[in-house]
Amino acid sequence: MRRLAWLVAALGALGCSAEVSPPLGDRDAAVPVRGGTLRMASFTDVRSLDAAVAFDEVSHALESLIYATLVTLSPTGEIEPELVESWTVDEARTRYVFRLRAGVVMQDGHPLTADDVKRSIERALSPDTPCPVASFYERILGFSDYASRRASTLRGVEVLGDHLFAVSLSEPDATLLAVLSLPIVAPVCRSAGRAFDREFSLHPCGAGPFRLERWEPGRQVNFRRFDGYFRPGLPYLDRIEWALAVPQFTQRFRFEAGEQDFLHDFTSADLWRYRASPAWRGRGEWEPAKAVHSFFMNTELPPFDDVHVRRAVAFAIDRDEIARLRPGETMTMSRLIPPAVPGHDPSPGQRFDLARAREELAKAGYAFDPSTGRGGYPKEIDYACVGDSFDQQAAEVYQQQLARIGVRIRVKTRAWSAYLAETSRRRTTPMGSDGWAMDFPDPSDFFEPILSTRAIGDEDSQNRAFWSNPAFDALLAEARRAQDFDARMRLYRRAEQLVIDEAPWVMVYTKRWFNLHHPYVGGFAVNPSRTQDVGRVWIDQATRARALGRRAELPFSRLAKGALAARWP
Amino acid sequence: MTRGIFARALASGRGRAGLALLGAVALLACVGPWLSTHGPNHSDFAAGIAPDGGPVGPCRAHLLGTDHLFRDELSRLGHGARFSLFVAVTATLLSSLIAAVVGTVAGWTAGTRLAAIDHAAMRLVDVLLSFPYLLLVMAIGAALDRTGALTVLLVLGATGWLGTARIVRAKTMALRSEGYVEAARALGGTAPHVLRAHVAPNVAGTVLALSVASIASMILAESVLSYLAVGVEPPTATLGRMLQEGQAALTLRPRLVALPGAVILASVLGFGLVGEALRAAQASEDRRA
Amino acid sequence: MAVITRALRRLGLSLLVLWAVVTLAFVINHVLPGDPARLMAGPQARPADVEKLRRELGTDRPLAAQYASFTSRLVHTGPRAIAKGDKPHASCSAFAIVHVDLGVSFQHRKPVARLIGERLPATALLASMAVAFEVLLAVGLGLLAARWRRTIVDDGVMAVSLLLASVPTFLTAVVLQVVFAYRLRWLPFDGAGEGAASTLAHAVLPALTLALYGAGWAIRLVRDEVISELGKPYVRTARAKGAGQVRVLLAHAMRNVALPLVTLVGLDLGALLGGAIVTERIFRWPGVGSLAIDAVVTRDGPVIMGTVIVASAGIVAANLAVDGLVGLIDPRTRRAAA
Repeated sequence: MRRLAWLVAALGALGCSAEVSPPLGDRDAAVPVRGGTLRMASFTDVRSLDAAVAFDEVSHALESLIYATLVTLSPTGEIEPELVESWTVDEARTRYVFRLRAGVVMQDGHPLTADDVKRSIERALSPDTPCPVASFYERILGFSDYASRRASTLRGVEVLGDHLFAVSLSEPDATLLAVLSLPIVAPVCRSAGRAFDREFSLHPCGAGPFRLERWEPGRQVNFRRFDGYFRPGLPYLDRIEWALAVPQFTQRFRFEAGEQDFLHDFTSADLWRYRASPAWRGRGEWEPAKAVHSFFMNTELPPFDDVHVRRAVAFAIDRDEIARLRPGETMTMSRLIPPAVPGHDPSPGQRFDLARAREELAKAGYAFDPSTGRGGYPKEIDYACVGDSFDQQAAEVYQQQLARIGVRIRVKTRAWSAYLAETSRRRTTPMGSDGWAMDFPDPSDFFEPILSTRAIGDEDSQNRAFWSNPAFDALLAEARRAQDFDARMRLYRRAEQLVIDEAPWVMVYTKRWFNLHHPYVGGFAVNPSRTQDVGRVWIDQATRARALGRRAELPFSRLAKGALAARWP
Repeated sequence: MTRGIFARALASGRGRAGLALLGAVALLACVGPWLSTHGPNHSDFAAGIAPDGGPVGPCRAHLLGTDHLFRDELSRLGHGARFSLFVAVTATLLSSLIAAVVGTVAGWTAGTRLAAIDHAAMRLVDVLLSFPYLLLVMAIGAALDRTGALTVLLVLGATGWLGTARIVRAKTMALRSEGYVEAARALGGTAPHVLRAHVAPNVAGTVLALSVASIASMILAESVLSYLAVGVEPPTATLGRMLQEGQAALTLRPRLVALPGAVILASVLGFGLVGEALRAAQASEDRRA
Repeated sequence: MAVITRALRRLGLSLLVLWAVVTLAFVINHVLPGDPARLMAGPQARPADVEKLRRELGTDRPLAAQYASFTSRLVHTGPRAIAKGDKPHASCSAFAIVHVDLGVSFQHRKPVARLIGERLPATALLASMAVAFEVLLAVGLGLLAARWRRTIVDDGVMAVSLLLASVPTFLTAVVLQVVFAYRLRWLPFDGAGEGAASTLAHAVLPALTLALYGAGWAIRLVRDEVISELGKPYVRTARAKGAGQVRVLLAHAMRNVALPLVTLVGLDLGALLGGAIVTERIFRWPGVGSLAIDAVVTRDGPVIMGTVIVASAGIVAANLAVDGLVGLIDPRTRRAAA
């Protein structure tokens, strides 16, 4: 028993000094310098580096290094030229003519032409390519013929000259330029071919500032500077090393030891301490909150086929408690459109009101008496979520909150794959965590793909609530055609109100990311549409070397190196 | 006979140390939840957040503080210990039963006309022993839709009998050629009778000693499963899960790792020591016999 | 002659065991819930795209057909194309004329055999380092305890060994990480490093984690065996002839302890060659174990089956090797068996 006490005491003593170490480097890298290697890390892994296929946050960040897009988003969310130099739109707003920048060289050495643009778009939208968001581009003329193999080319994309191409639409689409800013349709080298090939992900090639050097799935991606990048003098860095699937706690260790230059994935305790530390005051940038986290209730399954039960649940969720689990990072949300997306409305939507919740449940015939704990919905309801995620922690709190109105849920944790398959299968999962992250800055992104009738399927349903509302669908169609910004926003606000009242979803919180880097890293600015945008960052190597001093190498590594050197001179 | 072994085992230093550890864990399991005013799955947001942003430390309302979801640590430890002990003991009962049956039957039939049974049983043991056990358990856990306590203990029970079965088989084979057993058979005792009257009592001591030691490894296995989040569903408090969840705040709240770690260690060590003492007592019994 | 027949019989049985494991692995993999196509397509994918991917991966075919193509690929000799569009030998690893084909990983888009081949050196390094530490600890502490048996030293060593065998590896790993990497900064926290020196440095903590657990059992074995050897007449004779305590321990007792130690450590090595799941995961060690757990999480069927087969092969091979080795070292077993 004494030994045990000793062990506990030792563990305690070792962990106790909880202070975070100060920033490395005595001055900020204010002036751009060429050269050096940036070391990054991510908590998640990437599945693919093929721009046409991979579509999650980290792949997005990595793809923005390899590929240059046609147009891009400014920090304030406006469309800006990138590979495309300028464009014109006709009266009817159905035909766009784009002029490509001259003299752009792809990473395989070939100059970029309008043919490459057409080939890349057709490759991405080809029926043989598992592009997850091909429907973003369905208003391009001839899309359905091309997608169903009735046509061998995409009629709406025309080559007009070496550096001139046109995109024609079947009907006006306010989101066209926004979806052209996505890496999905970024020009890819000729090695990508006309059709999708899995091998391309292992040798990706575009017109971006960095080329892939080495990729070990689940561990590491390394990039090397592309010297032919079309913006002269850029990028500043020689290399980027990006470690994958690194737990938060490990990342903090690497960051403090100077093995990692950026910190993006924090445990909530660490984030708190960095924010509170005087040495780090004024450092770090928040990314805008551009996702909504929610849970769905399957409107085809009892008891959620009754709108009163759904409303009762929506009234029973206390969002403040969830936000307190990760103070600073998570903020309550009671509407569908997150703060960073146009059309966001700061006024409250769904409200926490226990009395109303019990009232609604009584209307559905499941009156609950909190003093005796009797009544309520008689059966346990399965709630699906991904294990080891923050959603799981939130679910454990929802479970307590819903018990207060007599709705008992059972948290079922799933691996990602099982969660995706089961929640998107018809009449399978009564409720579970859900959410949506912004693909492009337009409110339409938060309605059509997730809650419209079109998004319902027997398998792989994107509408996990299986909620179908004709009034809602009509509002969306009208908004999509409208060209006047304010008119569109009004329509989306009405659609949002329907979601709030009918409660297929309970919107709970939004999360924003914090970016921290050592002072020797310069030139970082938060990008509104993608996370960890480090393509134009530079490193003051002299400051880094000074700051690291002898800390860079661990004693044992030195020892081992010495021993090896002694034996094999 | 077994009672004598028990007495002797408990008289030894190891046995006593083990019992003391187990007593402490049992005390925690019984009294812990009773001492705390909050249930193991109740988030006490009213208790607030500590000034450094982490969950609150020990205070009057929460004697050991709270965890990352503001739940009472003492209450969860107590329930976690209960769960571990329950799963480990039941799984061991199951696996010992399988081991005793398979082992004696295989040992009894080895080298007779029914040797095929022995062969089949031993090949099965070979296959299962060659299967990466953790992957097997994880796969079964994932394949069964719902992972509750029952699933975990069935999985552990069904995979934990292999080693014991081999030892029991060897012991049965040895007994079979003992004079008095051969005499009983020669006198016309049927196999079930001889097994019950002469083999079972002699194998019982061995099985018992192995079982107690096996509880220790069951506790370890359960903690690994819940650590890897393939064990029982949340929010059920289990020691491995608590340790895993505490790891995120390791440098800030080391107690969230140290406490469940200490309880796992104490129970594994406790059963290990008692098992050891029993084995020693059984061995000296065998030598005397 | 009898020896050869016995060896062949043993080999045949091992192959049978392996086949059973392969089938079991296949069955378990195919009852796992979840859909690899859905996962690969990503959370925001559209239905038709997922269906397309499913056809491409062949997960929509009947179970029996999948089993047939899996087993007929597994070990073969000539060029072989199972499915339409398969390039012969596209995902094979050839050993002379025997080809092993474990299929192609969904996630990594590489032949599983090659994938495991890439991870195996790291796992082998970790396993051998762990076993080396384990033997050092076991012999050192075991001899210490035997030399001063029934003293406080013996008690201390026994307590330590019991403690070591009782601590779950995830706890050891965390304690080692905090002490040696986080606080003292002597060793890297996790990962694999580049270059020989760095790789060795990265392997120390995970190897130590595994060794400490294994040593818990091995120390006790060495101590018990040495003590029982010390009681035997030949040792008493040696001592009567004036051999020193140390010489008796090392020259006489140890030689006989080698046998059981080889058995124990050999089996440990076999088990570790299949990858140490928990330890490799905590230390992010790029071995077969972390490959296996990643595959379970991402439902990468071919990799799950591949790692299960390799892990079992490791155990079976270790069993065979230990049997053979013990037979060679110890003439008594050979005679008794024959």
